[in-house]
Amino acid sequence: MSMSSMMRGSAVAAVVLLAVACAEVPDDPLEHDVFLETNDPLEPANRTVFDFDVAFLDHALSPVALAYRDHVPEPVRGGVSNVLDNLQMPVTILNSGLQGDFDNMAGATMSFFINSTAGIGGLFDIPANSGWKPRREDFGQTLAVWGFAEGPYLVLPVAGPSTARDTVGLGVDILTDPLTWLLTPGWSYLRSGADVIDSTAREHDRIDEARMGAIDFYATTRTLYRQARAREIANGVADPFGLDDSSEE
Amino acid sequence: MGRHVWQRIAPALFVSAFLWSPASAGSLEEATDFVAQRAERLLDIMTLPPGPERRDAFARWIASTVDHDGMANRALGRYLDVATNAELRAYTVAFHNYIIITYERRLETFSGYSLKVERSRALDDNDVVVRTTIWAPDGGRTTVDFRIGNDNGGPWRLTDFAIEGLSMVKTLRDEFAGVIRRDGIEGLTALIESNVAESAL
Repeated sequence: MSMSSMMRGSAVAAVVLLAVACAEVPDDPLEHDVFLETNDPLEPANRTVFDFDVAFLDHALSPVALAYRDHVPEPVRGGVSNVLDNLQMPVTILNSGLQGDFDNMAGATMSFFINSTAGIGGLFDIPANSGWKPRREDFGQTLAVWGFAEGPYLVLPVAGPSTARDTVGLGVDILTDPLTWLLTPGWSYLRSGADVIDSTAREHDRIDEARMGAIDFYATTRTLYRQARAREIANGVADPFGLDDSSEE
Repeated sequence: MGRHVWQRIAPALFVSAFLWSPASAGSLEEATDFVAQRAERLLDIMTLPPGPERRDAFARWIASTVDHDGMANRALGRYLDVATNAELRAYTVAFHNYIIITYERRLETFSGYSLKVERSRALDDNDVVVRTTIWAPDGGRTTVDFRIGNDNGGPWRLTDFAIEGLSMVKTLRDEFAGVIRRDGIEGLTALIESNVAESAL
């Protein structure tokens, strides 16, 4: 990563912070509470980026992803997904360790070495066939486990919904991913492109489902992102109604 | 995302639930049975082909299963306190139609699925959470939590549900808040009505 791209990143962060600081907080007590609860001080700018992302999804990503889904046989697509998952494993190993989740760290390390060798570069997910699949971890989740608040909601160009915490996490994930430093720019772009097409092909129907009948698709995406992220931070144990809460016992 | 294999709810769970729960074991069992029966019925309805017959069946299911007025109120969140009676009446009617039209289509994903009750817990005398696993024909699993209540000792009614941890009422409340801030409750009602009219075509 060059010095100039780091400076660009810092400039973007500074603009975001300035915009958050300048956001107008309503005086009305009810509106004030809702504003704080929603935690989306950049909403007008976020909506603009969101509209761009949706247009990009509809006109560029979806046609490619659907062609990929409809014309590439499932075993090949499964292999591609496995390779991409395996390439993300070093980030999971690091962050599982940072969170003190040494079981997941050991499992991810084992998966990475088995799949990279016997699994032919991750094409075959051998441990998953025996029922073992480590949870995906990233630095945004690590920050949450360390107690950092999620910060304001953000919509990133192409990457979509995020928060200040997850955006910082995404930057750290890129910096701490060994492949960032090992791959040539051409291979890096290929990997990122494949990742986006693969995830769009897998999630296309769910996105359509959320969109169907949404009163405000931007707000729906914002709340679904936050709820799904909370579930990931809780290691996939979603308990919105307190079924497992033992504090009242 | 990690998933777990859970066993069918055991009588022991009811006993342990009784030990710490403020509700009686009988009412917890009754609430759990209510969820199992109504969820099974919903899965049956979703096997019908799309059309007026399925929509009518779903509307009847909503009427006999869901606390739609309470759900509508909770979806307004903090704005419930400032809604006028006229606004609330119009909004509640629109909300009811919206739930039927939108969720009939969203839930058709579960056509051909089967259900297993995993466990349940009484949060208080009138508030019970039941966790279920919905099984796809290909073996895929989805966790669905049902929250039910029986205010004033009336019949049990569904007050919320969460698919893989995503709560329906919370999602609607967050979605509606932005619209109300911009256009008020009347604006939200108009938007829901136009959405229903568009979806019903």
